[in-house]
Order: sequence, then structure tokens, then C-alpha cells
Amino acid sequence: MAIAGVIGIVGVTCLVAYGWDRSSYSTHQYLYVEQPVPFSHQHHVTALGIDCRYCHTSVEKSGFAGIPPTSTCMNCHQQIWTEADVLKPIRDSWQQDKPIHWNRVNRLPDFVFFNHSIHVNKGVGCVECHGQVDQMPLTYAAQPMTMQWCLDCHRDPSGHLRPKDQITSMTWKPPAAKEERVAQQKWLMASYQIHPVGLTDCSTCHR
Amino acid sequence: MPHESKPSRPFWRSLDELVGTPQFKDWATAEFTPEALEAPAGTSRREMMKLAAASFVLMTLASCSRAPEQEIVPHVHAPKGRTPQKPQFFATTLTRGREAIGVIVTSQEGRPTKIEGNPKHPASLGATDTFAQAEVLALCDPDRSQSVIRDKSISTWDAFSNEIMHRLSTAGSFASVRLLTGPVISPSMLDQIDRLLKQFQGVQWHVHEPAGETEAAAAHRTIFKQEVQPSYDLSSAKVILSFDCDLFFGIPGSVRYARDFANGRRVRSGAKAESMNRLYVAEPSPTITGSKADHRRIAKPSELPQWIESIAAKLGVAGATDHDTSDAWLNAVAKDLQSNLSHSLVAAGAGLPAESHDWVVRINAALGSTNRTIFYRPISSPAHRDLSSLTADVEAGKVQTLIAFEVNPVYDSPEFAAVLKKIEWKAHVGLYRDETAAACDWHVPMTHALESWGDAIAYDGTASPIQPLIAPLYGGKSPREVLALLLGEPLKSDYDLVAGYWRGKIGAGAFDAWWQASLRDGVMAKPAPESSLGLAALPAKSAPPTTHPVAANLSALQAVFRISSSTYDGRYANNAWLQELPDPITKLTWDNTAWLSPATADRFGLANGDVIQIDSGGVKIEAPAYIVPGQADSTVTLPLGYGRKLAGSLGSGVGFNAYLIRPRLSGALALVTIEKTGRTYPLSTTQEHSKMEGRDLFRTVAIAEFNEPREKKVVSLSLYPDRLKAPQQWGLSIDLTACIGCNACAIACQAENNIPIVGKEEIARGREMSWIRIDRYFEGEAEDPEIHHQPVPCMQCENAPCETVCPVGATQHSEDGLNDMVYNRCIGTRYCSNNCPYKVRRFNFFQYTDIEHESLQIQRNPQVTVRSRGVMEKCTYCVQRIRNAQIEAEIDPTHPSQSVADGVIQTACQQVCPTQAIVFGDIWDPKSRVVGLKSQPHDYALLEELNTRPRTTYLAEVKNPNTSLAKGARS
Repeated sequence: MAIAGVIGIVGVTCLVAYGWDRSSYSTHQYLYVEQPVPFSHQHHVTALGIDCRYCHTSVEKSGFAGIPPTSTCMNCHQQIWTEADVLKPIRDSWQQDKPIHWNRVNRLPDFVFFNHSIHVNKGVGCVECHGQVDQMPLTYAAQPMTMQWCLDCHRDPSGHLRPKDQITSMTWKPPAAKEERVAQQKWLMASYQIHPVGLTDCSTCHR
Repeated sequence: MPHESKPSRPFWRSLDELVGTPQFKDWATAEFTPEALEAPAGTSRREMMKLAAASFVLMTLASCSRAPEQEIVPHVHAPKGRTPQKPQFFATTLTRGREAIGVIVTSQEGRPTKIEGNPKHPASLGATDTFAQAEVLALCDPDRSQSVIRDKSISTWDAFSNEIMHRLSTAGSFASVRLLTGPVISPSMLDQIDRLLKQFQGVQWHVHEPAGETEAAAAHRTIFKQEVQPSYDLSSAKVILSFDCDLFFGIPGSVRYARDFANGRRVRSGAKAESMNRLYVAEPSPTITGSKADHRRIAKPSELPQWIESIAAKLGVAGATDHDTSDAWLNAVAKDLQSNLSHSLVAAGAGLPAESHDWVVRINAALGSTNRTIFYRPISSPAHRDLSSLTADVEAGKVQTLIAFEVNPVYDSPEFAAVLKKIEWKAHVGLYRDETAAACDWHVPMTHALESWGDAIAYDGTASPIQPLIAPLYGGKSPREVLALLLGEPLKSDYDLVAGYWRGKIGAGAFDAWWQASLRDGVMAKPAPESSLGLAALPAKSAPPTTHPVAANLSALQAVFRISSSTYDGRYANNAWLQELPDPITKLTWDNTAWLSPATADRFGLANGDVIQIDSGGVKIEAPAYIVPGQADSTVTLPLGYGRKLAGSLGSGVGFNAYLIRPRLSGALALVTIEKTGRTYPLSTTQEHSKMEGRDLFRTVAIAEFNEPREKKVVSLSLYPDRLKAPQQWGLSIDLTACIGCNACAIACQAENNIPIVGKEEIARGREMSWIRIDRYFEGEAEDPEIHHQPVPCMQCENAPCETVCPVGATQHSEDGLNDMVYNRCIGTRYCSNNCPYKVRRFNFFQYTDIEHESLQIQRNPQVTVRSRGVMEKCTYCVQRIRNAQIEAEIDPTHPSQSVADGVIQTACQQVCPTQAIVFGDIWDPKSRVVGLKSQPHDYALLEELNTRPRTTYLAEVKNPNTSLAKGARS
């Protein structure tokens, strides 16, 4: 009886902990993050048609996609909405030469060494991890970014690839017909020279 | 070469091991250290279960934390040319005394994190020494001086400049104003000093270098009638004879000398003896140079001058007398030198008297080596005097004002503390508030070399620029800015001063392009180095013959003073990496000791750690004794650079100060008496740690037997098919012939991989963290052994014993042959370390990494996880470099490739190695360098009979003994 009780308590504790760990409260998935300026990706991407790489300049060549310096904001906003209240922190930053403190939306632990450039160059589109950013008035994490979620793709990337010219597209969809889709996946894997061997090595992400 | 597991020759690591003392047997056979057996007392089984259950629940709940909130703070204006998270590289120069070594500093997000050698700089050729590696830590040392101090209270730069200008303007005669600096090898600063001496007629400049070669300089001045900087070209030397000259450590050009020496010994399959150079070393106390000698001969300091003269006589130098006509060793060496005319070299160490240096110049001239293997480059600098003349002037009441730059004479010249008190006004400019700063009225914090502009002249005369990597962390002024203040140019920045000087030299028109090229390359293409002096006619010998006091009684020992392998002359005393770096010979950390030969220790009844009192003419110091095989009998070696009083929180009070009994003239023979005090002092050495049970670990072969057919290697059998599938498979080859045991790899690894230090007490428990250790083996007799070095990183075994025992899968094999270590999975059972036959795994018993001091965080490599308590760690072949290089290759817009070209990835230990002893590469690529080395006949694996299939293998050490000198004739 006592043994069953102990096992029960241990089991319940584990289940609760696991459930907590995978909950969106713990992973921050779908949770809007307060920002000093309520920047809308929806407005800038959908309404204005600005490409991701206009601001996230280093996404193709560096591990870090890059958060735009104040000067990038001011490229436009010294011409338009120059008096808007919401943009005051930007103007202050520009005038006082003090950086803006944005709050991180997509977070990974320090022992994970994620690299944007290799993903983008190998056909993983922005949408794949960041979701429909063009539909986000305020930005939130679209995926849980747990190790399990990373591994889903690292074990078999074929279903998550797209042609190079569609990387930043928010609307691209793979062919609906299964045969066509599989053929394209095969072709993409071959043309990007992706061999899943080694993709799940520990040191691929942990160093 | 034998391949059975028993060594063919007696190799041993410590005297305790050789003799087989009970303490050693206990240490070697104990499964656990005594601390591990301290079970909590009085805990019942029931209580234990309760605690276990509670900790399980708490552990589970602890994992329920939410990911922490983080900020991203982009720039206001993006810095030009910088891509976020991509390292940048800047060429600059690091100096130490007369040494200038060109380096390339890795800057990550604006923070200097790692220093590599500059392949274009002649003193580096891509490598560095231990000190240069540790400069990134010195930069962010939280103990550095951070404010201007006047009489122990905080003041300002403005107050200092007002006061000094007032003093200068009211000084009646400038003759009472003195500058005191270390050796100055910066052309722009020499120019400033020159202008200063001219502007303020009467000001005198004193140069003080505790580790300087004063005797050699004096001899050279007599011969050449001017100051010269000698330098060697070991690449064209077939026979090298060193009289107590540590060519590979601590002297200007030593990194380059090691490279050239090793290049003359890289024997490959089919090589003949003629293809190898030969090194003879006569020295009183083992050095890394001596350990590489083909024939090392133990010599008392009193014997060396006579031997040098005898060699001179044997080579026909006029005026020399042969005192040792029947000495087989000297005869054979002289014959070998003579049969390699103009391809031989004789070098003499700083501890020898001027007369010996004089003979050496003549010997090299007689051998035709001058301007072939040895060069004398004239040095031009304003007139200067030394510290003893300053002392004399102070005593005579001639000095009222002293400005000292980056020197610490109160520590390293014991009599100077009293002298300094007699000076009315004295100021100190330095990195630390050290002993001299505390004794001065003013102290001005100095900028580190990575924070300032400058320039330097290398050992061979090449000029190179110094550029800052970061704005001064703690404020501070460079010596150039202080001099500019004196010169009445207070508004000139560091950059203006350096660039302004060179603009004048190069000409305004050509300057910009030349300056940009210089900063990019780290070497100034112009002006060409001054050519070295010829030796048309040597003046007749004039140096007085050396007189040596005769030992009055048997207990008098000859003292040998050496700069420390860790603290140099004392300046790195607060550098934790260097303090914890085991000495190449003794493997001691965090201390200096009095080195004694086994026979001498026996004579005084001394064991390791026994405190002895050393008496030199009434001055007494106490030091722990340490028995060093290969030390000359009746000598005691005293490493300098310890016993600092005001070095900082780590370096103060470590070791004893040997400067207290050092004779003022570096070439003078010092006689001391020693006495046992009966006390003992705990020492932390790593030499017996990680013992591999005396198997055939180190292999050595003479060149004559090199090409003899040997047994086939152990055939590796496995039940399992080769399972690794990645297109590139990584491996490492370490050439033991090239390895000089200099420790540069160990400290480069520390900087690259965020390896913490643990402190003296933890080292004593065997808990050092270094991922690559350099095992030092002795071979042969205890009195006169051969000394060998063997770097041991993780072997990355294909059949890794550690992987199979980890209960949580925290260590796994990667498809490209790496033994991955996953810190975030590790729960610290330490089974892996227990099962590792090579003992290369390291465990964080405590929170060793300093997470409190903010300044230390800027040094850490952002590409490598900072480990915390309870986590196992080990060498990863610098996996961050591999993965980044692979990504670079795959996203290369012009040639995207699945594989990384040979040579693109260098591990940190490989990149720093002065002798290129370590080569990393793809062992499946038949054309790679590493495959070329692994297919050599003398390639072997450690403990290969265990069938672990290590990816790290060694090339056995090949020596080139003189056949006419049998082993017995070594001494």
C-alpha cells in the first residue's frame, strides 16, 4: 500500500511537472510580449510589404538574424509619423544615442547554439519557426521551441523545406497533391544537399 | 619500436613513483580521495530515504521554472563592418620586456575573447606563448587599478596633470627629474622620450628590467661599441649548443626559435640522420630547451664559464685556454660544431657573466655563424642609465622627482624601497596598484595593451602596430599620454601620438595607405629593419676574467635564478590562468619552490615541501624544497616572480620572493647556505594525477633506428560494423618530437573553452580542470634523466568507454567521430570519468566559474557553454570551431560544400602551438595532413591494446644523438 502510494505520488509529480514544462505558460508560446514600442509586423510586412531581411539583415550570413538598430527605424520614421507618440522611444533613442531595450520573444536556453544562416540557406523558411508573422499585430512565439520540436525537423527535414526564393514568403504552400509534394521534397533535399546524418548529433546544437 | 604494453625503457613521472614510496602507492591505488569517503555521520536509512524523496520532488519542481525574461539591445547605429554574432579579427602586438609578438585578436561583439598568433609576424608565425594567451584575462582582471590615487586617496587625472606641470615649471634644474621605465621597444615612445630629454635638458632616463640580459648587453656593448639585440636563426642551424640559454621560453623571439628548431626535426618515413638538427644543452637546472636536447649535460653555474672558454679554445679562438682537454663531451661537441661551419650556433643564457658572452660572440664568429645563424642588430635609443645609477644619484641627493612607468622596483630590487622614500615627489603609472605604486605619492592607472595604440619592434627589427580592441575598461592613461602631458601636448590622444609619429616617418602622402595596410597585416612593411652588424674585425678581448668565490664549506650551494614559467618576472602574479598552469618541469601550481637535486636533498635530509632557510650573506628567506631530477648537485634553483605583497587578490602572498637574495649583477655567482627548519609546506602538483599505470605511453626512438622495420600495429577488432556515417571524420595527431612542453596549448584551450580555475587546495585534491594536460616523463637515472613532454587531450575514442556507462546519455558519439559532451544533460555521476582510461575528463565539484565579477564575463567565448557546478566536461576538439566552419562551408555562396577543406579548422591547441606539433583534420581524406602523419611508421595510439580506437594519436619522439657520445658519456 505504502509502496503504491509512493509510486503514485512520484508518478503524479512527474506528470504535473511534464505538463507544466510543455505548457505554453512555460514555453511562452502564443504569449504576446510587452515591448517599449508596440511594433506591428502585420503592418510593416502585410500593409507595407517590407521584406524580413530589410531589418533582420544578418539572417543569411550569421547565427543571429539581427535586431535592427535604431537607425533602421529612423530611415523611414524621420520622414513619416515623426510626431507619433508610440514612436517616442525610437526618437529618444536616436537623439540621446541610447539603445532601445526590446524584450525577447523567441527564447532558447544558453546551452543551445542555434544558427539562422544555415537554416535559411538550406531551405527552412521564416514561417517554419516564427509562424505567420505577417498576421501578428504584436509579436509572439509561434512554436514551443522545445528540443522535441527541434528534433522533429532534424530527424527528417524534408517536410519543412521550400525553394530558396520562397524563404521569406509568408504565403508559400507546398503542392497539395501528395505525389507532387513528395517529389518536391525529394528534389529539395537533393538540391540543398541535406543529409540527415549528423543532424541529431548532440554537438550540432550543444557545445 | 615495440608495441607490447610494457615500456621498453624506464619512464617515470615523479621520484616517489620511481622509488615506489608507500605514499605514492596509496595515492595511485586509492579508488577515492579521502574527501570522497566522508559520509555524513548519524544518518539513518529512514532519514536517507526521506531526504532522497524530498530532493526528488524538489528537483522535479525546480525544473518547472519558467524560461527567464531576456532583453535584446541593438545598437543605435550599427557599427561598420560588423555582423551580429560574427567574430572580427584585429592584428595588434603584445610586448613583454624586449619581446614583441604579433597577434590577431578575436573580438566577439566588441569584446576581445581570444588571442592567436599573427602568421605574418616574424616572432609569431601564427603561434604565441603562454603569456600572450593570458593577456585577455589580464585585460579584464577586476583587481586592475581603476583610479588615480594620491597619498592613498582617490584623485583625478586633472589634479595629477596640474601638479606635475607645476613641479616641472618650478623645478630649478631638470637634473633632479628622472624617468624610470622598463625596456622601451616602441619607436614612437622612444621618440617622445628623446624629445622630452631635449626639451627638458638635464632630465635623465633610467631603464630597469629585472629579467633583462644585463651581462650580455654589457659584453656586446664592449665588442660592438653600441647597444645590440642579438637574434638567432635556428632554421639554418644544424648543430646548436646552448649554455644555460632557454631558447624556447621567455626570451625575445623564443616562439619563433621553437618553430625553426622543430622544423629542423620533422623526420618522416625514410629520413636519415642528416635531415635532423642536433641540440646540445649544458645547464644547471632543467628547462624546456634542455628537455629537447639530444645531449643534455648537467653543469654547475661555476663550471659553465670555463667550459665556454674551453669550447672557444677547441674552436681556435685567439686568447682562449682549453681547461678541459680530455673532456669527451666538450670534445665531441666542438668537433660536431666544427664539422658544421656556418650551420652551427652557440648561445649563452642571461645568468652567465659578461666574459662568457664575450667568448660566445667570438665562438660564433669562428664558426662562421655570425649573420648566418646569429645576428646582432643595432638598437638606437636616447641615452639611458640603469636602476643602480638611479639609486646612487638618490643617495647623493640629486633626485627630487621620479616618474616610473610600468616597473615595480620596490618588489624586484629589495634595496630600492628605502631609496624611493628619499625622493621628494614620485609618481607611478601602471596596470596595478602594486608595491611601487603604494610607495609613490601618485599612482595613475595604465591602459592595457589591448586598450591602447602603440607600436613595437620585434626581436629581428620588424616594426608592428598596436591597436586597441576595446575602450579602456577602467579608464587609465597610456604611458604615451603621460609623456605627452610632460611634453606639453596634453590634448593629443593615444592615436594621434602614434599615427602622428609614423606620419612623419612615412610622409603624409603615402601614410594613409601604408597605415591601413600595417593595421590590417599587423606588420609594418616599411621601414626595413636595421641590418645587423658585420664582424669584420673583433676587438681584442677586454672583459675581465670571471672570478668565482670558492665554496667556503660543503653546505654552500650555488643559486640559480630563473624567471617563472607562470608569473614571468612577477608581472603576471595576479593572472589566475598562469598561476594555475603547471610548471613544465615540476608540474607545480600556485607556488615557487627551491629546486634541489636528489643527492643534495639527500645530503640535507630534505623531502618535497620541507621548508628550508636560504641564507645569502646574511639575508635570509624561507622556501619549500622541491626535488628536481636533472638538477645539478650543490645548486639550488630559485624561480623569481613570486612572493608579491600587493599583486592583487590572487597573487599577493603566493610563494617566496627570490629577488631578495639575488645578486645585483645577473652574471655574478650567488652562493647560499641552506638549513632545514623542520616545518613543511603543502604544495600542489599535478604530476602524479591521472596516472595511466606505467604502460607504454611515451615512445622515443633514435634517428638511427627510425627506419628499422617494426612490428605491425595492433589490429583493432570489433563485433560491430563501422557505424559512423558523416562524410568527414575528425582526428588529431601530436608530434612528440616537435612538442617542447611549453604549455601554450593548455592555456589556449582555457581561453577558448571557458575553462575555470580551481585554486591550490582543489589542485591538491586532483581537481584541476585543464582539458589538455601536458604529462612530463623522466627516463633513466634519477640524477640525470631525460625529460619528455606529452600533451594529452581527450582521445575521442571510437569505442569510448565513457559513453557506455553514462546513465543519462550525457556523453554521446557524433557521426563525425566526436565524443560529444552534453552539459545540460549531465547529472554528475562521474561514472564516465571513472571509466576513462586516459583520465581526461574533468568535473566541476564546485561553482568554479567566477560568475560574480562582471569584468571577467567579457572574456568568455560566447560560442561555448559556461559550465556550472556538478557538470562533467572535457576536450571537444573545439567542436564550436568545427560546427561553425561546417556552416560556413555549407552556406558559402560561391562553393557550397558538404565538407570543410583541410586546414580550415584548427583546434585552439593546434593554432597556438609554437612548433606545430598538433595537427587536426579529416582522417577519411587521404590527402589531409593528419592522414599523412597518422600513416607515419612512428605513429602510435595511447593504450591501443584496450581497443578504444582513439582518434588522437602520437608520433613517437625521435632524437638525434651524436653517435660518438655514448649514453654514458653524457656527463
